[in-house]
Amino acid sequence: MSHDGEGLYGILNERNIREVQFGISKRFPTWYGSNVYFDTESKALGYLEKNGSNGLEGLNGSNGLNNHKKEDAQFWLDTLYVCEYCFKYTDNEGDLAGHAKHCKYQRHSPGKIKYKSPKYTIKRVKGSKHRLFCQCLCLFTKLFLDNKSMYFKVDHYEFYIVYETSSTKPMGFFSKDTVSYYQNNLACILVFPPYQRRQLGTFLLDFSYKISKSEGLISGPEFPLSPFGLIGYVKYWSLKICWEFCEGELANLEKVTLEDISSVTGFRISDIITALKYLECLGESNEIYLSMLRKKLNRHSCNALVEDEYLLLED
Amino acid sequence: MAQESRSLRSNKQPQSSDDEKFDFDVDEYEIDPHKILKTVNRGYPKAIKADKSGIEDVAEKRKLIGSMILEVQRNSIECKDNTKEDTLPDELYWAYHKKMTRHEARMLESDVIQGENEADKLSLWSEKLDLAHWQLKLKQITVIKNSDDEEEMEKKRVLTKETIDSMLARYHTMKKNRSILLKNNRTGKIDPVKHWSQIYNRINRRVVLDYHSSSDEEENTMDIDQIRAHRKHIRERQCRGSIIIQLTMAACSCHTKYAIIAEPLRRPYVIRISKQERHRWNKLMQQAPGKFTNYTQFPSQVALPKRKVVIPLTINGGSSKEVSRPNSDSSSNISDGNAHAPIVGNKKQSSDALQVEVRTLPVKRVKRK
Repeated sequence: MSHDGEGLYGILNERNIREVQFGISKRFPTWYGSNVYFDTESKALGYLEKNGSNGLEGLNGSNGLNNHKKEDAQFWLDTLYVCEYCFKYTDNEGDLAGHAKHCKYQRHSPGKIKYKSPKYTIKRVKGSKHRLFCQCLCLFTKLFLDNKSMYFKVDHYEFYIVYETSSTKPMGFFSKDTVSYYQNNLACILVFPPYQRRQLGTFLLDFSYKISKSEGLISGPEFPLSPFGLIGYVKYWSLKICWEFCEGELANLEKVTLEDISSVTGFRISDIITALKYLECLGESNEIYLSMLRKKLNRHSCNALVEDEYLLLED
Repeated sequence: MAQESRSLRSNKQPQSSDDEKFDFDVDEYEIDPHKILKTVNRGYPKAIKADKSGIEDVAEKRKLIGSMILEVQRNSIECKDNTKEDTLPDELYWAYHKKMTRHEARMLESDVIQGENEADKLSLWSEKLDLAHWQLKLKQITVIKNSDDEEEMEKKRVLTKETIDSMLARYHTMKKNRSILLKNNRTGKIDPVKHWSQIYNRINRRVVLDYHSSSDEEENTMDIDQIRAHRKHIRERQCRGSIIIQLTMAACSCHTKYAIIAEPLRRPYVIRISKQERHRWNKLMQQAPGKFTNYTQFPSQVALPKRKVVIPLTINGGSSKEVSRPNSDSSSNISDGNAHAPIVGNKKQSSDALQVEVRTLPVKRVKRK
């Protein structure tokens, strides 16, 4: 259960769930292990222990032994069945199949609409209001993030969940700690495996900065960043800086300070420096070469940015 | 569930004692945020800045995530149409989730206590930097190159105090936000009726007394304009109506091109207005009550001496005389003349005029020869 020999809560050195059945039609392997789904002594799902089951049987009495492969000691569970609407979990296929018809979030997704374009809708779900939904979401997220440490105490977190406007299936989300000392605008971000590589990460990051800018804050993510987080942020910061210099508020300026870039983008100074280094646009005496920015401005990625006319932040 | 070994954060100690100190000799950023950077329109940098700190692991991470592409398989499980009840009801998870919530709350509690202690320590440091022997404290908490250099010491004292104050301000903001989250906390809540001027700004809706936002479901079928109108209606119903101030230089308001809009729970904003809007608002104004009357003439206000009270002047501060004091029993005995000296010029408002209560100190008159 240790992580770098320190036994950090929820973090395992290796995967302990082989794969996830996500909804009734999608299945994929996990990336990371998590012990918070389980009772650590019996290695059965925690809620089964509480409900008097021995942890090896499904709720309907169907034998779950096939799901706990004894020959492979690494895995505590072969398949975790997760509802793709509400993230409730079980080790029994029949239970997920029985739940699918009844899931209330299949008809109405929770939360308050904060962005609604013809393509995407983002809803804010408060941990204090939809506690079980947010807890199950956090538990699921740990299987794809290395450094998550809060799963159940979600009262002071807000979750911003992205959907296709015509659908109620969550595609990804980011969470935000509302009582963060550093006033970070993002605690944790994940685009669920079936919806990755659609630039939804960039879209969610841009939205997180729209929120902090509307609150008058210069902000950024909570550290440390996961590998996906780091790559996603560096690409996003770079894209946004390129866009501002080529077509936005910083276009046609002969002189600029990092403070100016910060107030236009809402990025922290340190993050701007990271992006400028990544863009390789700084000369020896820190002059900014716009030709490098024009060259690296990815027009295709600009389509992934949030459109202000569809924002509902202040309403 | 044996979880004593679990912890929320690493407990590694800092490497050296200087790691814990404030260090103002090292630049916070590699590039000064206020330094003017020139933008060069043509050409490419001859030599790209060699310093890659902060991004050295980007390429490495790129490789790593390239190998982490998940293969999502189509794997349908048969849906059960015959189930009368949900096989995964909420109650199923409650006991375990409640137990784990308590466990996390305990872990967080230690963080909260640690934060309190840290804030107390910082407050104490800040106070000590104002005392006579502040140099000693400064050397303990801030990296000092030359403690004999008065200029360096004074500069770093100011910087240290500023840093501590900003840390404490952040901490108190965090505490305030935490208290707002407490559902039943009514202290510090804004009542739209009493504190109406505060309502016309962007404020956390949680601080508005008895405010209920629109429900999750009712907006799902609306388009964005309908949602905006619907939410505005709810804000106005639960707080107060919107205020529209037409801006004009002309005497006749029909030439107005702009207006300030103040909606409840939003920042006021300026809009350009159309003729139709202008006419609609002007029509509405016809049903409004009469305009404010300007009272240009105020009744004359006269200062009248109400009474004179002699304040005894004694060297030792004590007095054996009885002094009649306002708002007190005239027979009360005063032993300490300094502590109870009546205030000079205590103003009292009356309906007919402004009356000033005057105190006169005894002045020894010198007769001219």
